[in-house]
Amino acid sequence: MTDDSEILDEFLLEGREIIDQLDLDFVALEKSPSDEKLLGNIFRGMHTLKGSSGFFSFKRLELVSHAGESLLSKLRDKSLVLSTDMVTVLLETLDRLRSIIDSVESEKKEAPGDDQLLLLNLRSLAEGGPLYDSLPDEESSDGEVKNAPEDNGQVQQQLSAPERDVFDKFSSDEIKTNSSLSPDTAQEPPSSPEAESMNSESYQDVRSPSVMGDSVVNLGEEDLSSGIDPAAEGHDIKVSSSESGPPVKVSVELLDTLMNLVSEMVLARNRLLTYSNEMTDPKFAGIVRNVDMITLELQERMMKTRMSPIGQVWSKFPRLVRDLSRECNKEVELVQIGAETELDRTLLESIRDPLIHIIRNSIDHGLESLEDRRSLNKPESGKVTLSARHENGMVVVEVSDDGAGINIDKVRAKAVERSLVKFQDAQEMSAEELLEYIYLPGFSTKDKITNLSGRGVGMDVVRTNINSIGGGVELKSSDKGTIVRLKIPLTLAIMPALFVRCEDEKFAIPQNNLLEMVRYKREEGGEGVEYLYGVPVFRLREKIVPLVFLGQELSLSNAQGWEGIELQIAIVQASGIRFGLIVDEVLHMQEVVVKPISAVLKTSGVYGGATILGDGHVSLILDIDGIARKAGLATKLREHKLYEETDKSAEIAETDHAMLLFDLGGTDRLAIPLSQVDRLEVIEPSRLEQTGKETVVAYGDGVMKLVSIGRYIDGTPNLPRSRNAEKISVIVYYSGGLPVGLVVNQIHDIVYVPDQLNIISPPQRGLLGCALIDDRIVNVVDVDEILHSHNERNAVSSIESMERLTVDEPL
Amino acid sequence: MSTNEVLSTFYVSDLYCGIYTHYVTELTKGLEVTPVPLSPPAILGLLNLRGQIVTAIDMRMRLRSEPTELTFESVGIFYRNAGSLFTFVVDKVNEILELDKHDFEPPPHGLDPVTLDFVSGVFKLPGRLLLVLDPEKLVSGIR
Repeated sequence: MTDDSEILDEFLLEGREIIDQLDLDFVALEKSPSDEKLLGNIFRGMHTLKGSSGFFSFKRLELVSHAGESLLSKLRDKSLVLSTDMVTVLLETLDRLRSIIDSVESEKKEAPGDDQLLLLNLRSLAEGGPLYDSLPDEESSDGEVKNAPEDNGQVQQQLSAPERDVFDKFSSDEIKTNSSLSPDTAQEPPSSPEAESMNSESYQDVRSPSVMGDSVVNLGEEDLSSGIDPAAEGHDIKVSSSESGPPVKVSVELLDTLMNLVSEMVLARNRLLTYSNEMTDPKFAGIVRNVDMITLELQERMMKTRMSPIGQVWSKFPRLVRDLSRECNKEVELVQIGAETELDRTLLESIRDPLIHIIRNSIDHGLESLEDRRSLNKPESGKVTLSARHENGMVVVEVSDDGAGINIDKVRAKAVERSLVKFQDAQEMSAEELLEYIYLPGFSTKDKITNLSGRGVGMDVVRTNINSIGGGVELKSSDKGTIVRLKIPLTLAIMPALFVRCEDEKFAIPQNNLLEMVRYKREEGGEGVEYLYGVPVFRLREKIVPLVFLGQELSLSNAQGWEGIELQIAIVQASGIRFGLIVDEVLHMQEVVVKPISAVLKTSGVYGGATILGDGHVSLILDIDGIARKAGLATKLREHKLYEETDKSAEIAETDHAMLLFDLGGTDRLAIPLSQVDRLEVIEPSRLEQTGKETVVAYGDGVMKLVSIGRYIDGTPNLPRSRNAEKISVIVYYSGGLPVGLVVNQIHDIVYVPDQLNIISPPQRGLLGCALIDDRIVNVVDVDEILHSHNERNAVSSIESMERLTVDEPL
Repeated sequence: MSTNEVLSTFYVSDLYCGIYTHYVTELTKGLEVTPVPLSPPAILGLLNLRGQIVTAIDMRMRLRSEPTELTFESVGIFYRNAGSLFTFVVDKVNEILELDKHDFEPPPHGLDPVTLDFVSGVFKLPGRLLLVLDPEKLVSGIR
């Protein structure tokens, strides 16, 4: 048997899980009050809580949960019908229970508190009585509902005694199993990442997906639920089957240590790789490659243990939305898409508050009042959609609503009123530019400050928080609603970065900030560095990009301006500002393990951390936001309105699609939608292999088949490509969950293609249509059709395939 | 009950200094320091100690307001404070001394006030004065 404090920890963990689950269940119950399964679950959760509290003699917890349970039992027995008042009081009960549990955790005992009004209301509602706003005098004096622990304790002890027997019977083992195994309810105790790593008592559930079997074991069903369908039990209590073995609990501290060790391993691997490049021994190279692969896998698996589904944060939102919508007197439906999307658990905490801010904004500002919606012919119930997905190695979280959008005129008026911009200029500003003001501290279009929002501390905090974890915020608004898009890195611990040289030092620029690299040579024409109101700028494809000289910014060089013949510019983006960072040399891209630096070095604000290079040297990671701030770019841009000419991308119509431009050897330009492209690969011909009729290549953990798309597209010149070609360009495309490599000749650029394509008659095989871009015809490829024809062709006959094994498919 | 204290002794410019050995995690020569632009002058830079990032403190700058030149004799004295690793870069290390606690005295008058900030006391040795430095003070309040 374990010691008391451990049992207490289990109790606290379980209590939190139950309360979190109840939060969700109550909100769901309000929508479907006749759901007996749900009611059964709720009742059982409350009952378990009461039982456990009795076990520890937590009087307040026991009294409150008992009163809650009494009301619930009436509801379950259908002697009462759920009312909104009841849900409100029950939710209040949960909040009370949660706060008591918090006090138990911090002080190891219950904090004193007055629960009389709550108890009175719970009892009154259970008797079919009214809801009280305050404690009536006569009620509290007649002792019936009195909550004095000294005289009520005895009664309660007796009350819960029978259940406690039951509880004792399965508490020590099963409660523990329950709390660690119920995947739907698994919640980490809310705490900051720092606190988590400090607190050796906090745990994280670790389970491999394969362990989450389908088999379901019901706990304590015979004691707890009479008249509840046993099948419903599995609703929130799932236990994996015994063969696959139970998941184990690992302390967060241990996980962090392991993570650090893996980071070290990655660094050691990098050093080994650098060293092996200098060696010529093939055997050694082989071993190094093996170590490299294992390290990579180790790193990936380790990262997985840090990952948690975003649903963990979202689970609090149905309750939040319910409370907010009642306060605002609006009807709101919350839709969640992609709750299973995973990201680093330390980041989960950092996005919770920003998301709450945004949801508040959506409900309070975004959605119209019931009357307005009716008159606009919108459904009365407003919709707030939360969605999360992976995109280009980032997690994209969107909060969208179908409300009125942001009133641009109001923003304009407010900006003028606060003298942020001159009246004349404000009239000329575009919606995108005006929306930037939303991020300024203290900026609010709300005339009235409500309890919920309008204080103007919303979006600037959101942006600051998201930027601080290396992410970004985008805002889109129209009369159909507002979309706030957060882009968040998967993890902070390891990230790709570009190394650049400035004077004698190497610096790393996080890839998240990097847009593109530009090299300017004087002999190629163009102006190079120009000055606009004293701000150095560069013309990049007709757009003006402000420049920052890294050497000057870091006081490494005293040179004023630029007199050379060549420029190396890293085009970076920070806090919505795009600028060019001039460096002396661009070195290479590498995954780096981000290490913190001591506080004294952070004061300059231009470093995000440090990393250790393959040769053992330390290199600094630049904080691009910090550099932009230090260079005072934001102010310069605002003063001189450089943006008017810079942001051409804003002109791209909503309906345009980003497409990847490539050719198949001829002069024709082809394009496929970028959204379908997973990544671009260059493959050495020696890696090609045959599986039956398909040409395949090892790709990641699996195998990717290659398709020469040229043969499925009408009008492709028949240019035989020899196997001796040096490299094969491949566009990796996911079809049915499997990667397919589309073999092309050369990849060119990303272009924006309008929604409406010109269709050629008769339809050409393999093509969706064409569009005119920059006076050139671009054919848009129908990848689905091509893959379909390819599969049909390769399913024709097996005899053919025998031959094909010897006659390679020409690529 | 021992009345002796053990000190690592070293030179910073012309100052003969010591730090109680229980503060010191290790001593290393051959330091490869990455300078940190825009950092306070007393910060020499960062270095790598078996995968950990260490902040190197320029002891000449700290005690004498003159910059250290790294030589083959330069030594880093590593010290951990609040989870961060620091190294004091000194010109040269001397022996490890075991001294009687009773010989410890408060810092004498007439010491350079800059230096005095970091000195917790002195041991009077034959012919010279050993300044006992307080590592905590050395790493805090750098600006």
